[in-house]
Amino acid sequence: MHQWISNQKLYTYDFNWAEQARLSLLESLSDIPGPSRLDESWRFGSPKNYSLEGFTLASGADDDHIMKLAKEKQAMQGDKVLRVICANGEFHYNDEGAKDLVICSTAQFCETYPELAKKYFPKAIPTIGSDQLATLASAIHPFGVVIWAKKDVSAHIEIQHFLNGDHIVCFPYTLVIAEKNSSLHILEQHIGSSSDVSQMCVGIQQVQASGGASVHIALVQNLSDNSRAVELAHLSATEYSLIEHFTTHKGTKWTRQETIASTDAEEANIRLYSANRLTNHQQLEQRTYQHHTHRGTASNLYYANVLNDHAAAVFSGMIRIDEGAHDSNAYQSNKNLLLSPNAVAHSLPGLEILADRVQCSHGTATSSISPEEVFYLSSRGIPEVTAKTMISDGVLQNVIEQFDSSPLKEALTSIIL
Amino acid sequence: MSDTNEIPATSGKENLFNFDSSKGNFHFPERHKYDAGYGLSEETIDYICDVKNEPDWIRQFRKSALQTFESKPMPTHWAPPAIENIDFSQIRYYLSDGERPKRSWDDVPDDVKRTFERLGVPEQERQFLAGVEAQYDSESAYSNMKEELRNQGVIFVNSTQGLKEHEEIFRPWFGKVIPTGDNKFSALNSAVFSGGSFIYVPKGVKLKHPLQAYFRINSENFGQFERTLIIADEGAELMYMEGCTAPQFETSTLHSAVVELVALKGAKIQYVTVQNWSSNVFNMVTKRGIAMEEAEIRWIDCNIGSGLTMKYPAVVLKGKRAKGEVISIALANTGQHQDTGAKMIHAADDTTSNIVSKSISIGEGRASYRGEVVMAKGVKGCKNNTECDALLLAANSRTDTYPATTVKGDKSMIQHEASVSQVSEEMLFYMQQRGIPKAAAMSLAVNGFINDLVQEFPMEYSVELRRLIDLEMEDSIG
Repeated sequence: MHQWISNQKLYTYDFNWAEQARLSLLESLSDIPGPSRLDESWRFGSPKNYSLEGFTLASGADDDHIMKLAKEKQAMQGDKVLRVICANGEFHYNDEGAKDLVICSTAQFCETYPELAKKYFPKAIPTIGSDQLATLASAIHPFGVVIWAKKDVSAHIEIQHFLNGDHIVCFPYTLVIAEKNSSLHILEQHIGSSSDVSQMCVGIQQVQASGGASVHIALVQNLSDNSRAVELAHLSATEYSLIEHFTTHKGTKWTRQETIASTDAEEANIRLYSANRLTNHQQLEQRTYQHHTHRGTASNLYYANVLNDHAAAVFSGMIRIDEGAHDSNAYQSNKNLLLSPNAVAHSLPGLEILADRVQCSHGTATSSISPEEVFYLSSRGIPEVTAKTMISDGVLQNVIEQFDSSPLKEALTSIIL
Repeated sequence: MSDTNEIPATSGKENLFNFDSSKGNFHFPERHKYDAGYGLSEETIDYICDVKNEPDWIRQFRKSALQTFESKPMPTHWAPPAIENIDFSQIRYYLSDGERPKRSWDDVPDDVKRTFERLGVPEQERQFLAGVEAQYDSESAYSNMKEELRNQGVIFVNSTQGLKEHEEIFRPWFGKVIPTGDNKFSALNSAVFSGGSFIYVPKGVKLKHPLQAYFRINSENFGQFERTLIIADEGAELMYMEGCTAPQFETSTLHSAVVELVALKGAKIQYVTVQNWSSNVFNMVTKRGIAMEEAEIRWIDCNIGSGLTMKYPAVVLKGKRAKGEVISIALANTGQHQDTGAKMIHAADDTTSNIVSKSISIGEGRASYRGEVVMAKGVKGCKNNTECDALLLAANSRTDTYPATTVKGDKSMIQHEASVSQVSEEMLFYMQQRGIPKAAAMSLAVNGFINDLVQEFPMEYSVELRRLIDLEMEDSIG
């Protein structure tokens, strides 16, 4: 890793406090080991894809090309959608936020609101086996997007992160701070600028919701088929707040998603969704951690995959109810529909319960389309191929339906189905 | 139980079923003729081989297993951290009083007989049970087999006799279901095994009565490494029952058994275990069965006691339409960790498996389910169903579930469900209102939770099991 870093042109902060912290993060990297097959958090995974060898840190991008692409790839419709466009990590464009809504780059945020910024920068988010990349992301790349919704603000936002160039690695970063009673609907897309390039994306989402706020955030990863992605998220909900997190991974040959959902105060609620259609030799590894630290908290996870060709999926989810987090409810469901004799699904749902009066359950089901279902539709005049598509669409549609955000639901339906 | 007055009872508490709660909590003075001493080396193995007068191939087998054991690391990347507390140098690997297995009840030494009486293997039970192969420390102290079984060609001997006298049947399967290098503890067992049963049921023979072995650890720091191999030939059927209780000791004891089952075409094997080790025992058991075409293997397992139990009975479904099942009950009290589960490998078409696991955590006890179900590439029509339910009886009890399922291809299906619950206040209130004391109400609720699984156990085991569970709950509630 050190060898790789020494060959890159790193960005620096203009502020002493941030730069100092960034440098110490960089130093700490030597103590953080990379993943190995023996790590429980990498069981059934492929750590070899974790390496950055062969990729150069992305920089600069053609403005006109990006703006044109951004228009094409817009997924949220309507005038009131605020748009943010980044390319290779750098801020290209953003609509002005309304009153009490801050949308800016991390650099601007550090400059304008240093006291709040110190809470988040430059720090590595907790991960489930990718500490090395999370630390690296914070240590080498201070650019990204900050969305800060103050009290009672409500907004619809679409963020597009473009990766431009061949053999580049980019670290798209998004921080969302939702204060009391605010309501945010955010769609974040990671888009490869071309289909014939090989790129690596290390995306980081950090969401903090407090006091009755609700954040609905969806991540759409749409890179070229020859790319790789590591998508890390850390969600923290405090008292009476709600975070809904949705992911879908369309491109890449290998994607690793790690989501830590932490209910950090009483009555916090987090819901996690994912719907993926995997084809060719796509590999998707998803690790989740629903962490209940306080009494009366709730979390719900629903991940579904439809696998074709030689695709492989690994889902490993853990529900952890800490001591004292009594009266909590946590659910987890993982479904895999296998459509090919060569598709593989691994599912590892887990529970660790250390508290009393909790309601927890998890379920996984992996199967193919039953002949009875196909027969039912065929007997009503629907061709077999269409029938199978309808059934597999239904599996994914079912997940989208549960996502409680109509503007995002519409966008996700058009992207996934 | 006429001799119970001679044995110091540690607890005379009343309980719901009015049975002697000090049962099992005692041991007799040691009088071992053969003792391999503490620690493990090639000399230990030579000592065991010499004492047991074993053939050379076994000596070689043991020695190569020792190398495997030494080269394998502890599975610390996934196993509970308590596993690191095992000090292999502080364990005695072979103890025996050197007496040959007894054929008649009258020949069994009186003190051993008393142990079995207190464990609930009274003489009258022999009338019911087809054969009793009761193990006292490493070697069988008592062995009885009904004449009719022998006439049917059934072999039921200890593993040493098996490998010496029935090598032609024993050797082809020995170490084949669970290879030496399967894990560190199977390697350890392969190096130092003593005791355990060898059973062969010939083609088409269906045993009406269960075969039974009771065994217990009775020497401080003494690991018991029994090795059991059961072969059911084509169309044969048998049920094997084992029960364990262990006296309380101050220092840790290691129990590391290997049980291999072979069910040939159309055969059925049921293996029933009720385990009640004392809290200082590390119980690391590798159990696996191989089921050929249309064969059926059922593991029925109840784990109570021990400091740390790691036990994941497995079935390799190797023949078409084979069936595998694991039914397991685990109860973890304060200071105990039950890390139990099941493993199903579907390697042939149309194989089915079912796993039902229920755990109860009392006090600060921790019960974990750890399982793996694999549907291999290219197989079709396979189905698995897994259910794990956990009951937490105290605010600081803990339960975990760590399952892993893998499906390769679009012709098979797996479903897994797990849930965690508590005994609801409403339920207890309802019963208390009708005059049932709280402790009894709790006991009823717990028995209700496991009732459908307890019914799977043979009659006398289900009675014993309910008693053991009530006994465990005594100090925790009320």
